[in-house]
Amino acid sequence: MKRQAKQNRGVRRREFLKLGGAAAAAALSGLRPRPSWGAADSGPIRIGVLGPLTDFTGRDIQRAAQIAAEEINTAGGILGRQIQLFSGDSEGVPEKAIQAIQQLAVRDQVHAIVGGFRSGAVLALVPYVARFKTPFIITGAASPDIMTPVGENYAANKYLFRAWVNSERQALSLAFVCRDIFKAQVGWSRFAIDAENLKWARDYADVLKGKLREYKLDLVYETNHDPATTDFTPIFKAAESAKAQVLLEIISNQAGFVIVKQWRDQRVPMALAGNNNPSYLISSFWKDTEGKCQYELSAYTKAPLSKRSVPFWDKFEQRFGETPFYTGTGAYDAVNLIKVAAEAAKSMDRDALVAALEKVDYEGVIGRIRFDKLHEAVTGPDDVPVSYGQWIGEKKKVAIWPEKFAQGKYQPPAWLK
Amino acid sequence: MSDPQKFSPEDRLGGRGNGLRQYWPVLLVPVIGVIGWFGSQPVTITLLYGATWATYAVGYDMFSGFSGRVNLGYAMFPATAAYVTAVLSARLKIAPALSIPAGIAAALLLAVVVGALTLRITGIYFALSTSIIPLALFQLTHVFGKFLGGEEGIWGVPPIFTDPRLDLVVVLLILGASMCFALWYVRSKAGLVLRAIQGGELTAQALGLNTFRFLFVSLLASAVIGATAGAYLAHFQMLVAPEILHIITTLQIITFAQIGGPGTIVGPVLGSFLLVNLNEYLRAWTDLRLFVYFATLVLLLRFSPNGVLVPIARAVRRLVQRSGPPSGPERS
Amino acid sequence: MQTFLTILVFGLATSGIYALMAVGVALIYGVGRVINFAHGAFYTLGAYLAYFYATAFGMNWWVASLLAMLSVGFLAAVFDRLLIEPLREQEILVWIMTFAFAFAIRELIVLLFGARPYSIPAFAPGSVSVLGQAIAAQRLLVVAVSGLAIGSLWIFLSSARLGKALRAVALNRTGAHLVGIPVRMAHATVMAISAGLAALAGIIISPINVLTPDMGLEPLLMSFTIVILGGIGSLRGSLVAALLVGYAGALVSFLWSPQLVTFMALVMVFGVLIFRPSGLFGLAVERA
Repeated sequence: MKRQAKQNRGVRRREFLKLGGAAAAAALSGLRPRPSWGAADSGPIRIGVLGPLTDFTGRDIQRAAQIAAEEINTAGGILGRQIQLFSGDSEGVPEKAIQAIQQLAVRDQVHAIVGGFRSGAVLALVPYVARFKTPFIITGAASPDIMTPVGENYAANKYLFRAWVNSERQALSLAFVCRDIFKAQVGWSRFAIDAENLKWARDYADVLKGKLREYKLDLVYETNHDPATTDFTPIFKAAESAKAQVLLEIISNQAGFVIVKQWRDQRVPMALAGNNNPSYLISSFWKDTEGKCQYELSAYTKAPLSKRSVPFWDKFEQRFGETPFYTGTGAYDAVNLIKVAAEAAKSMDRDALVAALEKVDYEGVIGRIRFDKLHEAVTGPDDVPVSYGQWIGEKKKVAIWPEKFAQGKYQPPAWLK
Repeated sequence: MSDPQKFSPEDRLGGRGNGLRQYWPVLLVPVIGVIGWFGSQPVTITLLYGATWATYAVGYDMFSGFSGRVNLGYAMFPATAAYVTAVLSARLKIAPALSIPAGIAAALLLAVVVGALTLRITGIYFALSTSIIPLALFQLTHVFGKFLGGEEGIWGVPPIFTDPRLDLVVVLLILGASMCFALWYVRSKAGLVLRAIQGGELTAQALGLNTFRFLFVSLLASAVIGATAGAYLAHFQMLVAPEILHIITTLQIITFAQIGGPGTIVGPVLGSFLLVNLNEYLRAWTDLRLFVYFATLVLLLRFSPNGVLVPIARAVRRLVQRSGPPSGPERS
Repeated sequence: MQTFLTILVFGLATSGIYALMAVGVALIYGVGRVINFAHGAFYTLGAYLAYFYATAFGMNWWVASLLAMLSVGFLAAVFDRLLIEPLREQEILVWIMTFAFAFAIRELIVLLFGARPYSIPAFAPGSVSVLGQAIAAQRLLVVAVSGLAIGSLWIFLSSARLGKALRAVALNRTGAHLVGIPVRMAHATVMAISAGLAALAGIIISPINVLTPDMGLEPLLMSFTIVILGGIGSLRGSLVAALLVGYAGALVSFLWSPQLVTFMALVMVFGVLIFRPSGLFGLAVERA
C-alpha cells in the first residue's frame, strides 16, 4: 500500500516536472531583464523612426531622419547629446504598427517618434501614444480624424503632432487645380473621382466633392478601388460612359504604377490627374512606367517654399541617388522640430517638449511650420507644400500649379485630339 | 489528423480521468501569470498574445484534434466576436460589458449556421468549405469598408484596463477556463465519440452513434472558446485588423497545435507559447526575422511532425527517471 | 458594344492566367494528392526571378523568363522531394508545410528585393487597336501564351509517355507503382510542371501591373475556387471553370464593381461545396 502510494507520488512528481519544465521553457523563452522604466535623462537622445520602412513610401522616413540626425550631431547634437535613431517597421499595417510602437517605446525607450504613413496604422496608434506619453510627430498620414482626439481629450492625446498637410488641405489644392487649370485654361468641367478604399482617400474624396460642387464643376462619376487592384479597366470604361473629361485619382500605393500604364495602353479618352504617390518619385517613375506617365498631372513637392527646401532636396538626391518622397521631407522637418523644441524647453521632458512644440515657429522644408490647436501643421497663408506638375520626360516634371511657381502650361494628352 | 496509436498512455499527460489529476495542465496558467506579472512589459505583452493564441489553439484542438475533421476556417469564430464587439463598442459606443457577450453570441450563431451547412460533408471538402467563410467575411469587411474598416480595420476599440498585466490576468483566466472545459469534455463520452469519428466515421455511425450531434455540439463549444479570446483581444489591442480573417490565421493556429502536439489540449497551448515567444525572440534579427521563423517552422514540421510535446515529455521523463527512485508498474 | 468587346478580351486574358494557375493546382492534387498553398509563392517568385535575371545579368526578357520558369520548377521539385514526401501520409501536415514554405519564400523575396513595388516593361510593347478598342499588346500576348501553354500541357498528358505515366499515378497510385512507374518521381515532376506554369502566369501578367511580395495571394485564392468549382483533380473541369470564373468576374467588374469579384467567386464555391462538392466534372463524393 505504502509502495503504491510512493509510486503514485513518483508518477505525479514526474508528470508535474514534465509540465513544469515544458511550461517554463515556453514562457521563459521570452523573459528579459527588466529595463529601467522611463526615457533616460542622460546619454544619447533616442528618436524612433516608425513607418513602412522597406516600402518606397516609408524608407525615406529613415533616410531623411538619418540626414537630419547627422547634421544635428555634427553641429553638437541636441542639448549637447548625440541623436541615436531606432527603427520600427509597421509594414503599413495597423497590427504591425502597434507592435512597432510598443517596441520603440517600451524596449528602446525613445524620447520621441517621427513617422507614420498609413492613416489606418496611425489611427490604431493613437491610444498607444497616449498610453506611453511619447511625443509622436506624424510625417505622412493624412486623415483628418487622426488629430480630432487632441481636441476631444487634450490631456491624454497632446503628444500627437502632424508635420504634414492632411487630406482635407490636399483636396483643397486639387480642387483649385480643377477650377484654375482644367476649367479656366482648357475648358473642361466634367470630372470623375477614383479614390482607393482607405480612410485618408475617402476623407480626401469627400472634401473634393464638396469643393467641386462649390466651384460649379460637374462630378459625373465616382468610385473606389481596392488598394491591391491590378486592373483599372472597369473604372476607365465606367468613367468613359459617363463622359468624364478628367479622371481624378487618389492613390497612395503601387496601384499608381498600374493606373498610369493602363491609362496609356488603352488610350483612355480623358486626362489623368490627382494624387499618385509613386508619381512623386521623380527620379524613377518615368523609367518604371516606360514613359507612359506622360501627360499625367500629379502632386509633388519640389518647390522653393523655404530656404531649406532646395538644399535638402539636393543633399538627399546626392546622397541616395533619388529624390525624396514626401515622407522624407516630413521626417527631416520633424527631427529638426524636436531639436528646436528641446532647445526652447532646455529639456527632453515629454510635457516640456509638447509645450515647446505648441509654440514653435520654424521654417521647414515644407515651408513655415506652426501648430494649431489640434496640433496640425499650419504652413503659412499662401504656402502649399503640395504642388502639381505634369510629366514631360524622364526626370522632368513641369510645375503647373500653384500658378506663381508655374514653369509651363498644361498639355492635354496627345491622343485626345 | 494525428494518429491516436502514436500516443502511449504515458505520453498523454495528465493521466486518464481520475478526479482532479487530469487537470494538472491547468497549472500552466498560474505559472505563466506569475512570469507575466513580475516580468518586464515586453514579456507581459508577449504572454498576452501567447495566451490568446493558446486559447484559439485549445478551441481548435478540442474539435479538430479529436475528431480529425480539420476546421480550416476556425479563425472565423474569434474574428466574428472581435469585429462585433469592436463595431458595437467603438462605433456605436456600447459598453464592453454588453458588446463582448454580443460578440460571443454572434460567433455562436455563426457556428450554428456553419455546423448545419458543413458538418454533413466529409473529408477534404469539409476543410475547404469551412475555409471559405472567413475569406468571404474578409471580402465583406472591404466591401463595407466605411463601416467595417476595410483594410485598416476598426481602431479606437475601448480598452478595459490600461495596465497590460491586468489584461493578462483576464486572458489567462479565459485560457484556464477553456482548458478545464476542454479537458473535461474530451475525457467524457463526447470526447470518446469524437475519437471514434476520427478512427472512422462510418464505423462510428454503424455503432449507432449520432455523429452529427456530437460534432455539432463540439463545434459550438470550440467556437465559444475562440470567440471569448477573440472578443477580449479586440479590447486589449484596441484594434481589430482584417488579417484575423486571413487563412493564414487559421493555418497558424493549426501550426501551433501541430507543433505542440495535436489531440492533447495541452500540446497546442505549449506550442502557441513556444512559437509566439520564438517570433518575439527573433525580433532582434530584424530583417531576417520572419524568414528564420518560417524556416524554423518548416524544419520543425519536417523532423518532428507529430509535435514537440511528446519528445520533450519523453526527454524530461527520462531525466527524472534517471535521478528518481526506481519505479515498478507505473499505473494501476 | 464597346464594353462588350472589352469584356470579351479582358475576360479571356483573366481566364488565361487563372487557367494556368488552376491547372497546376488540379495536377498537383490529382497526381500528388497535395493541396499546395505555396502555389501563389511560385507565381510571385517566377515574376521576381525573371526581373532579377533580366536586370542583374542583362538578359533578354524572353530568356530571363524561361530561366525563371525552369528555376521555379526545379525549386518546386526539390521542395516536393525533401519536404513534402516524408509527410505525404498526413494531409494536414502537408498543408501546414506548404503554407510555411510559401511564407518563407515571401519573406525571402522581401529580404532580397525589399517590399517596394517593381514595374516591369512589357514584352510586347505598345497598344493594338482591336475593333476600335485600344488594348495593350501584352494582354493579347497573355491570351496567346496561356493558350499555347495549356495546349502543350494537354498534348503532353495525352500522348507523351511521361504524361501518360502521370495520369496513371493520378488514377491509381498503387497500380502505377506495381507496373513500375516511379511514383515519387512522378510527384516531383508534376510539382515542377505546375510550379513552372504558375511562374509563367506571374511573369506574363506582371508587365500589365506591378510586382509586390503579396501579388500571389489573389491568384492563389482564385485558382483554388476554380479547381473546386471544376472538380478537384479534373483538368477539364479546371479549364471550364477558369473560363466561367474569368468571365463571371469580368461581368461583375464591369457591370457592378471590381471589388465584388472575389466575394462572388467565394459564394459560388461555397454553394458548390454544399450542394455538389464534386464540382462540375469531379468524381462523386460520399456524404456523412
